[in-house]
Amino acid sequence: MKRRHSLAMLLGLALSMVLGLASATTVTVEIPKYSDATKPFFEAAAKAFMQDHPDIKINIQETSWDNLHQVLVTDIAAKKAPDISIIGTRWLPEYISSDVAMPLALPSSFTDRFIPAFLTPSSIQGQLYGLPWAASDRALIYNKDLFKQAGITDPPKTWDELQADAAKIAKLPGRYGFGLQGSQIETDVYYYYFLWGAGGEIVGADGKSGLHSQAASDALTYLKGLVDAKVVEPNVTSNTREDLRTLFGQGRLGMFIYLPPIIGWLKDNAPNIDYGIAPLPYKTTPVTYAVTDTIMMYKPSVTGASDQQVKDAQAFLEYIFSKDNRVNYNKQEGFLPVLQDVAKDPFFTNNEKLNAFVQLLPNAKFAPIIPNWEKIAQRTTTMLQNVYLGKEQPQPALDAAASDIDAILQQ
Amino acid sequence: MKGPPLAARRSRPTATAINEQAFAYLLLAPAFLLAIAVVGYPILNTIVTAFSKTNAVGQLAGPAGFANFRQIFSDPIFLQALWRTALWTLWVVGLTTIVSMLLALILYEDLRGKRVFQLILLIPWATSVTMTTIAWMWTINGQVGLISNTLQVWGWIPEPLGFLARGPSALVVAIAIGIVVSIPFTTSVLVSGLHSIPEEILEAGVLDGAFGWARFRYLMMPMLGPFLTITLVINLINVFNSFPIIWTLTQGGPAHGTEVVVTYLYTTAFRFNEFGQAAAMSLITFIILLALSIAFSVQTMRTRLS
Amino acid sequence: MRNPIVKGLAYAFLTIISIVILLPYLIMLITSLKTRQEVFAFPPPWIPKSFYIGNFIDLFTKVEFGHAMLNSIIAVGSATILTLLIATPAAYAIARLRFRGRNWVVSIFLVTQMFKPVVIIVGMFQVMVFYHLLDNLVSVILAYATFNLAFSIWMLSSYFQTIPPAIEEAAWIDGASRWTAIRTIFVPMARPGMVVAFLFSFVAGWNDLVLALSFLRSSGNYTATLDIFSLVSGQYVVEWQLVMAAVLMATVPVVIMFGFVQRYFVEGFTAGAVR
Repeated sequence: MKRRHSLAMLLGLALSMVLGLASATTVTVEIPKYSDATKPFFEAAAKAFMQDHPDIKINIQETSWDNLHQVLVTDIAAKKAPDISIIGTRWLPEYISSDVAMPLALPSSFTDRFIPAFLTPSSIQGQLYGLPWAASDRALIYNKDLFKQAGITDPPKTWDELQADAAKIAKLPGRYGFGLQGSQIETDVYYYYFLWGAGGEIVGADGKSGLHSQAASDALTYLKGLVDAKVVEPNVTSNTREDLRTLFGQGRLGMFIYLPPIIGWLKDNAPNIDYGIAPLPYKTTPVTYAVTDTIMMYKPSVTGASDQQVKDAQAFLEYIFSKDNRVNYNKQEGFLPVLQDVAKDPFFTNNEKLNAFVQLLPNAKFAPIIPNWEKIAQRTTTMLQNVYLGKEQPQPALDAAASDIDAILQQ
Repeated sequence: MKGPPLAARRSRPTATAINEQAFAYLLLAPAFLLAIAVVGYPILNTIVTAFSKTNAVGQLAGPAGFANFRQIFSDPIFLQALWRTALWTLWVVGLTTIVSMLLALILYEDLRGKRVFQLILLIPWATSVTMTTIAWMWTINGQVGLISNTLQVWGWIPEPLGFLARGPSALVVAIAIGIVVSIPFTTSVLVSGLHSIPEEILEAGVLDGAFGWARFRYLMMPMLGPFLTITLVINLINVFNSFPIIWTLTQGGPAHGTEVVVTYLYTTAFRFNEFGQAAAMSLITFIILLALSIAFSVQTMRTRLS
Repeated sequence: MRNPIVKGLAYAFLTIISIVILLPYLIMLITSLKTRQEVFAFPPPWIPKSFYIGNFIDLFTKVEFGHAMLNSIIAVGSATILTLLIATPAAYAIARLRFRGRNWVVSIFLVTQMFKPVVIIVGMFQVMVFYHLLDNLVSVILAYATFNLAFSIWMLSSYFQTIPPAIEEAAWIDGASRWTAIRTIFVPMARPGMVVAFLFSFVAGWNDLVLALSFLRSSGNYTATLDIFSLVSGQYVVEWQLVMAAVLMATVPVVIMFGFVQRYFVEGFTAGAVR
């Protein structure tokens, strides 16, 4: 079996050398798995593209989000980086500082199609390094039936209302009021909803951690209060965002915060839940968290690509952002449109629930795109988990985290 | 047990002492070549990286002396992880050895259903450790787990199970899983070790009146010595370096409550992009394991000579 | 074991351990027979409503699981055979021959065991790129074989040392050449040790995720473990019923193999060989 593989490889190599002198370029695209629909979309797009461009071969490789970063690091280290990759936008600074990210040279006729807010995370120092691939924001998802049972007429708008409503629902047997995420990725974001909602910032204007502020204190004390009042689900620190979604789908959770794909998920997995979508409750400032995942290109120094290959990769990049492709993609994955013409498509304008998410965009805040962001996020998460578990009191925890984050920001 | 006795060696048809040595090296060569070809460079790379400055994508950027080491030893999370790794390793290896020894002794006897039990003991080996962990997570899951729900319905527990919500209880789960996945290997080695003891020795001892504990202590243990050492050292190394169980369960959380060296290493490398520090951590791990193995080898050699 | 109390305790112990081992598999089986909606149903039912076997079918149509299993068997089988081919002569040398450095050989190989793949993955990836083996099953075959060397050599050499040399010498005196003695007398007696080494190596390769994840990129080359992992790794959607079905399927061939091979564990020596 081993010999057959090597033989095939040798034959393939020989064959491709004979044929390949007329340079068929191979463009490699690395994608993370959002759902079962991700890869089929790319493969279909690749197939259509290859039909129009017979001398370009598109190679789609998929991995999990959890491993994407590691896979890319090993690729880059061995100078075998993919031509195109979808990445977490927070990784851009490290790629730019290591000089492996390629500034995109795209015509303005193309970039003008984008909703401007979504281009900001990947525009650094005046250069565009990537395009927004998946965009989402966050809203309060609430169970209308449970609200009725608890005697609540409207979704909460303020923090006080949120706590009061959660308490009412928690009184129902076997039900939990508000879903608080305490585990894994974006645990810190759950806190930022409230930090921002109290007027705070993650990084202050003075370049120091926003955890020094009164807003940070208010937000953390409020969340701790929810845990102590037992209006949230039990075992907060073992609940990921998807665990909260499961609880909601089972009809046991009154409300929680999630992104647009919830619409498709509930339709597939819990079609009987009557739910509504509302803006996030706030203290002083209405806000939502907007995220983009970025699709970007690596420099030839780590991909080994020829100029032709770079051109071909860029052509494919533009191709997958065609209106039809994007409408298709957004329909399948349930993310927000990033192109203005796509946003005007009747599928989106007529989709009441998706529109509810879109309405929140004017108040959107993004996470700061700074180096060492992961360290800061991790430190914040640790602080939150310690407070939720009761191992630390809010104020000392904030002070400790704030000074650690200041140190990280200095690095 | 050190090769053919002198008399036989002299009467062997073709070998002289030098030829014997050359022949030995010939037999060992393929193994050395494979090892060097596959892991030689990576190990060197790790050592060099530990003493270098690195950028965010893992490229080396000049020598850094001991800076990486200083950094990690002043990191309280790393020190806690080191301590926790020692605890985790000792618990898993210790309990596994005891349980497996009991199992091996029991299975040495003739019992009804012995074959079935032996097969069951091997089953955890048939599933990847990651999948076993996922299966256990599913089993003890508080929201959709059958166990948790049934216990709640019976009124045995007031709230859903939350083993993974806190560091200490999550570590207990990890230790339990670690033991379960180590039992097949350890038991197998000990069983085949028991079967390598010539029956005459055991029978002779029994005839001399040594039953039960005495038989175990004075007849079996010495002959099992080398096999026990194998399981202890291999388990020590594997458990110390064990990544999938804790990572799948909690990724080192909550709040670094289950962080061990290898999970923190992974986080440091692939989340924080500090490759120099991660390499330094692997070197520290290596030195610790090397020291332990040498200690074991010395111990084994000493008992062999006696 | 004549004492009935001790016997009873022994059975109890075995039973408890067996339950602890089998319980997750039971739950996996139950989950794999549920439909997607049933999986998250609350309260979760112990008995699936309809014993839905569609999940197992889906495995073959949705993720080419059959192909992945084949890849695993080929890759891991080859690696294990390679390990044994290389480790056995080395172990024989340590057990039977005198040479300088004999006491340290095993320790040197243990060094390769002390760096777990996840720790040196960046370097290993570069090595495989250098050999042009990326996305090729040969890369994992070589890697698995290497990481199993230390244990195999150690286990085999220890086991070989328990075989009295007198047996081979008896054959020499009877006129057999060294090789014939090894083949006809030594190897059969070494079988239990070789079986354990084979199993350990096979399982280690079967279990691996990190190496397969880094070296194998196109889904046609995925091993079974990697395939299962890709099922679990969707960011927003994990179909647990498929995952459980896949894990069970991946376990079955290995358990069958264990079943066939376990008699070698317990065979003692051929009585009377020494005399």
